[in-house]
Amino acid sequence: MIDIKLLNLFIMVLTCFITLGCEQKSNDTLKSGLIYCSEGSPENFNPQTTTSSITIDASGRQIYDRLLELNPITHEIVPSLAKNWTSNPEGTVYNFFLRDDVSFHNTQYFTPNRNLNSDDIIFSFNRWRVKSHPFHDVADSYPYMQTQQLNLLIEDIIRISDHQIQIRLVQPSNSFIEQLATDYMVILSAEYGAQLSLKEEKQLIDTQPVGTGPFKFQEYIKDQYIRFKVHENYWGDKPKLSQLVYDITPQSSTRLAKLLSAECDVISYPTASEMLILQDKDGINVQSKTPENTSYWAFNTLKPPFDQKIVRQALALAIDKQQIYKTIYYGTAFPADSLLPPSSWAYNNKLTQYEYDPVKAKELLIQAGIKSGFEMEIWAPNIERAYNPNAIKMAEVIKANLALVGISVTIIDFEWTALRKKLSMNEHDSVLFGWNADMSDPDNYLRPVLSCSAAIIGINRAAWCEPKFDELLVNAELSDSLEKRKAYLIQAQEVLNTELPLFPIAHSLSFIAKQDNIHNVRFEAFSAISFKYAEKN
Amino acid sequence: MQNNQIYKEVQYPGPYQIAWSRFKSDHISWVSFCLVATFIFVAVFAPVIAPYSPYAQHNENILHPPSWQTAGNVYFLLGTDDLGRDVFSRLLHGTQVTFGISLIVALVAMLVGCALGAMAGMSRGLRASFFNHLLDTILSIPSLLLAIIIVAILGPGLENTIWAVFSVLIPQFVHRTRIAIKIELEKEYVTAARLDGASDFHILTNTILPNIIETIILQYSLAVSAAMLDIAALGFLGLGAQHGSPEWGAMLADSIDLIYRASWLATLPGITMFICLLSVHTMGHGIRNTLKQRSE
Amino acid sequence: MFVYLIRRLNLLITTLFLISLFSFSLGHFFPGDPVINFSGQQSLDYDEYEALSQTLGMNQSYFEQYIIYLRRILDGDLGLSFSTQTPLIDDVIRVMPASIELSFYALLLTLVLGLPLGLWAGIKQHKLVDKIIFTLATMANSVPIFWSGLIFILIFSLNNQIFPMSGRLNLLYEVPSQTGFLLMDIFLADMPNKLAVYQDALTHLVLPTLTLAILPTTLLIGMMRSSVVNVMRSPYIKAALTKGLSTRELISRHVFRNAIVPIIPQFSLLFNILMTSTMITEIIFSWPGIGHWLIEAIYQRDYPAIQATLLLVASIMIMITVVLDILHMLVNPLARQTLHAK
Repeated sequence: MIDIKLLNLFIMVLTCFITLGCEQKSNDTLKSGLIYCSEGSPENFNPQTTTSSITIDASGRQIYDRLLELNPITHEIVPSLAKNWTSNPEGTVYNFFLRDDVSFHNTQYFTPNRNLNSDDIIFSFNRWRVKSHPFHDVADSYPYMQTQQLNLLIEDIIRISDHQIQIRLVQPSNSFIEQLATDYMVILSAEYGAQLSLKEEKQLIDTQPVGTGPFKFQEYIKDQYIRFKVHENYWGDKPKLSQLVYDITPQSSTRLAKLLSAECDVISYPTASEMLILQDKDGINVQSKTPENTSYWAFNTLKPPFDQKIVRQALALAIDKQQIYKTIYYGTAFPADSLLPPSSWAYNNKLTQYEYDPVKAKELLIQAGIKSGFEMEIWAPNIERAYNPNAIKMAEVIKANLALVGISVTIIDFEWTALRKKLSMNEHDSVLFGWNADMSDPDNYLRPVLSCSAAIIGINRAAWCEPKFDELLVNAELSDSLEKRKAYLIQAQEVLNTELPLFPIAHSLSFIAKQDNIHNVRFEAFSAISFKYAEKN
Repeated sequence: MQNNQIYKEVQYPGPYQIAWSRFKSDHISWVSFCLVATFIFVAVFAPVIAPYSPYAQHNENILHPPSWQTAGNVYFLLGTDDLGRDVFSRLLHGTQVTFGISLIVALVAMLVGCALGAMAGMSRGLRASFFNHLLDTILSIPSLLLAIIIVAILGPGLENTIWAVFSVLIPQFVHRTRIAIKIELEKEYVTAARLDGASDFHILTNTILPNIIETIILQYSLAVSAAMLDIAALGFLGLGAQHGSPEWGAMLADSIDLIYRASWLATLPGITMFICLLSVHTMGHGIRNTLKQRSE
Repeated sequence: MFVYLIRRLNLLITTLFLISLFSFSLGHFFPGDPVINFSGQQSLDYDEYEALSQTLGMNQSYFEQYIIYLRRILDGDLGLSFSTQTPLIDDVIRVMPASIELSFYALLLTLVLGLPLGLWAGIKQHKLVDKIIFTLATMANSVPIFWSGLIFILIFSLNNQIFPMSGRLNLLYEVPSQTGFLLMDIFLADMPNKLAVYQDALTHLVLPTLTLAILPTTLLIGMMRSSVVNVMRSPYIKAALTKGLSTRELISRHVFRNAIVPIIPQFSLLFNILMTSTMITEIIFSWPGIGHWLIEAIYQRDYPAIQATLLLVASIMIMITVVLDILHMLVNPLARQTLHAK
């Protein structure tokens, strides 16, 4: 026994000696790598298959490139994989000329034999566009393209030469070029696809990704980390980082603590309540993104009593939004009156507001035949989102508000992926959710969130399908002048405001915080986070 | 020498009275007893003593520090949280939730567990052996893990947590009682009682029970603290009491986000819980000591 | 001796049987379809579902289903995780070593602190030292572990950046996992700056180990103290004293050994506490072990994972108990005697 004790003691002493005895050597591994503490685990690594911003943040700008890019400052569309493009005067035929020096990732599971060519573009687009494509059924749906109806808009994609393709549209579209620069329009490798088909391991295309982007995928352990290595043969400016690690840290307080203890170089979405501390702290700075998002409270319109418009309106009247702005957003958000933010050109500023009025809410409930109140559930994600820094706290505020009108609320919090899965089955009463815009076009706010096609593929959180609303959107899309388009969109917002399938709450600024020695992290509206230009010194 | 007593009988204190006076003379135990009594009082009368409802959100008074700090406000003794809820009221109600429920759950578990344990202890043979194995199985699973799994089956929530904690506590009582009874059964005085023709039931209630009461009480105090820890741990993990509930563990979990801005929100529930657990432990220990001395 | 082993083995097998039965019944208790709960397969079409239902024996009696379940488990097939759709056994093999590693160091610390302190307190019973140790132990025992972890983080990571607060290693170091035990892996790995990596790994260990060791240490102090007190009262100690043994010899020859033997079976309680604390410690310090994994599984309603954890953890606990019992019997002739007397 004594011997064992002595041995233990010896080990402990040794431990202490090693811990304190040698100085931390500043080595290259630490200097050239960056740790980004992100808020959740991605479902996979292909933005085509989802609208979950966690997945898009993890893959969109790291692993992949698009044909075109959006210049974040001038908001112009600039070349990327396509070095230039032309279109016919009607705007229905586009020609894209591809770069010929673009190489794909060389990874443990794939060695590319050729550079990017037209086949890859056609492969990537047809995957979500054509039902007979061998990889179409690998994913359940392609929610963004399907709600934006890009699959219907594109008539055909033709290979002109190795480095030229032609895209034909059914009708001219105002936003087509802009769409090509969104996070979803990633280019996959056709060669890798063929290799997987041969091995009959098609499902790996989204979990072991291959792209042309600045970083290549190395390793992913769910709920723990994602490791990317630099793509040595990247066609553009070579990234300064040799390694990029996403440290998955769902709790925002832990992320902040890890930033303060220098375990993270960059953290996502510090909550509004933490902003004051961060601003005062030396060695740390904060980067913000304009509020191109909407957080909302969606009601499941399939379930009584939420199928009654009047009940939904009563619920909206019972909420004290001012308190939410103060206690949840700490002044970092703008009130939302419509699904569209006031900065949008189609914003309707004449909507009747649902001012906090519990008495009237009660009257409306009685009018709806509900005298003694009822019980309902509010679902909330347990992590921070760009549009909502603390959904659970928000649910608590709403719970207290609703108690005053006799409604008792149960708050149910979910892990992000589980929540999305559950929501698509429409089992919820109501949910605190939101939408990040991918482009400045107002259609991007309305269609993916509330259209019938969104309801069909299960990303319409209100499960709401109103032909009148969809018709207005189609009319807007088809109108030839901005004026007419605006008129239709304003009408559509009016429909939303009276039907109220969801109650818009706020347009929020969102933030990342980073150590002072990290530069050039791209964190901008309409785009996922990008570490392409990031530097550490 | 003058004797004031009219009657010659001298009243001797009974064994329990002796134990009680001895318990009182131990200062630490006495203080902890008073603390526990206070906690029980608070748990029962929390709604009466608390200045506000634990859910009342005072919109104008958000994140007030405790009143002794310069920025504090006398109307909110221990400050307010980020939704303007009075921390003092929440802690008082939390006593009711975390401590009060633990007391009751442990009590019921004790009654059920001891009854089962007595049955097991008095029985012999194959049935007893099977029972043993079953108990060993359940006891081999860490209680928190078992509680977590029960909550996973029933779904998160305070009510389900209570059921989980309840079912976790019972086997421990059964185990203790059974072993204690087994030990007592082998002693001579039980054999003596048996030779006198006492029935099993009589032996159990009149002969054995008074002698194992010390074990049971000690186990009760352990069970209360275990129940508190489990309820709070589940609340902390977000599996027990709902977010926003004044349960101490949930309060702690809710306040972690604000630990830099409003550290009192995290420290106060922790300290309260620490004091409560400490006094329960110390008191349990004091009771055991006095009862042990009694039996010696 | 032989009879004793048989009895223990019998206990082990019966208990394992009961655990597996319990774990099996969970598949039916959990919300949702048992076929999906047992297999973890989520996207099934009708034919696949029928085929799977057939292989799992869902249309047969519970007894046959149980046999099939048992056979699968013995084959190492724990089903698929709901959330990743990968075999659970892979996940378990990944997370288990991390937990074992952490628990092992905490156990070492517990023994190193708990045994001497308990011994000391026991020898100096009712003296000041005893009171101080006892008071400290009681107080430490009353601190909820999730709170003490937070306080450690606040003091050692945030206010003074001495120790890191999360994970096993700076993620920028890439250590290929061979054994799953990090310190071993670093030793085996072929990488530059090994010393720096070691140092990083050790600093990551400090806070979780400390937090985890608190509760078991206080328990061990209590056990050891009362055991020592018992030994000190025994006649042979008095005899040894009258023979003129020095205190040091007395303690090392008689007290320590004789005090430690009776508490060996109680060590299973120690392990039980250790296991529970490990789960919470792992959450607080984002330690990628089985506790962290289990809690994530619960958040994600990943029933097969919960079921697998229960089965594994309970089996491990039972085995530890039995091994400790046998160990106790090996070192303690008295225990053997009482058994034969029965």
